[in-house]
Amino acid sequence: MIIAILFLLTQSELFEPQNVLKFADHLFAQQDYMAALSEYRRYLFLGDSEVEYIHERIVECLTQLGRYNEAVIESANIRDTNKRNYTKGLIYFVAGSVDSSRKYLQQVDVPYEKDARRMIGLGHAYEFEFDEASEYIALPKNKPSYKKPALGAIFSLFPGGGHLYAGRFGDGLYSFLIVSTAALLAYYYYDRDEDVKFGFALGAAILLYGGNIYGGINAVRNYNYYENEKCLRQILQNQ
Amino acid sequence: MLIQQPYQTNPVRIVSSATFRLYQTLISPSQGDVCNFSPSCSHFAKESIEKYGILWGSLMASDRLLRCNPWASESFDTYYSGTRDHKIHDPVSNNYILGTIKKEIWHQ
Repeated sequence: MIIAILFLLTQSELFEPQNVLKFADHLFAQQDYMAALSEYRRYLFLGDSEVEYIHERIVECLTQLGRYNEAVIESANIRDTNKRNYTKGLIYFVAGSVDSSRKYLQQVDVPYEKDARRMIGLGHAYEFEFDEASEYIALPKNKPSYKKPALGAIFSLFPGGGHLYAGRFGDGLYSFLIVSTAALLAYYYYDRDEDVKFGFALGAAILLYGGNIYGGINAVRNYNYYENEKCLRQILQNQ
Repeated sequence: MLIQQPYQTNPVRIVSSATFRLYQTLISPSQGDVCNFSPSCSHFAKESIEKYGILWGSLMASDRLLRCNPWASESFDTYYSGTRDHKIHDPVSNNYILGTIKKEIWHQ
């Protein structure tokens, strides 16, 4: 132990700030962000040059590690206001907090303005606000073609109609079969004056019919979501 | 924003929860693992009633029962949020029509 400590003390180049920085950069390039983070922090303790660069790298490490709150706090050490706003916007964007990201990115100026606008546009696209996104980024020519949930509900008045409207043929057919069977069963028991069985069958038929209408709206809602998602995927592919 | 009622004080939820538990303990095991979805239809129904109340929960459960059919995986990509345990992943929250849908693309 003592020999090891003495040996380390003789290897003074290990503690030279420039070597620490080189090692930290190497770890960063290897995407070992946890180790790089501690080396950058060690450098801040040992050296006093390139502080701005070190803070930026620390923020990048924390962002890559998913420690977004710490990254935002650390980014306050970046002196250049423009760069600081861009960095904060980037962190919030990566963290999925699009509103906060936009707040900072809108304040960004040259040379980061182009990237900032791109991120603002992508933020809008992630929230499926394609009209707003088009002000910042190029959108695919084919816009999402939506269907109306209200029409889904109206078509569902005929069992399975809403699912068919949303393109779910199997669900539509199945809904029609099940709901009509339940209704026929209720009528069968009503016709035979079997009140208890009629009550159960009618309850089931009403519940399934309600579920069929709900499902019609839900299917259209999912269809619209898919259209939005398809458009978003195209935007991401073009970026 | 829905305000969650304390579960123990709501008799409807107690009855529905007990019914589903009874079904899951006594009837479901005899049928085997036949549901197309994860969570299964009975878990989905129980969770939807607990989370959104008897009205919305029943509608969501009925809708799910109508979707649990041999053609459930039709247009899989356009409707469901992926697979879990080799089954179609269809969480309750994605089916509440007043809520928002969250699917895999948000995590990419």
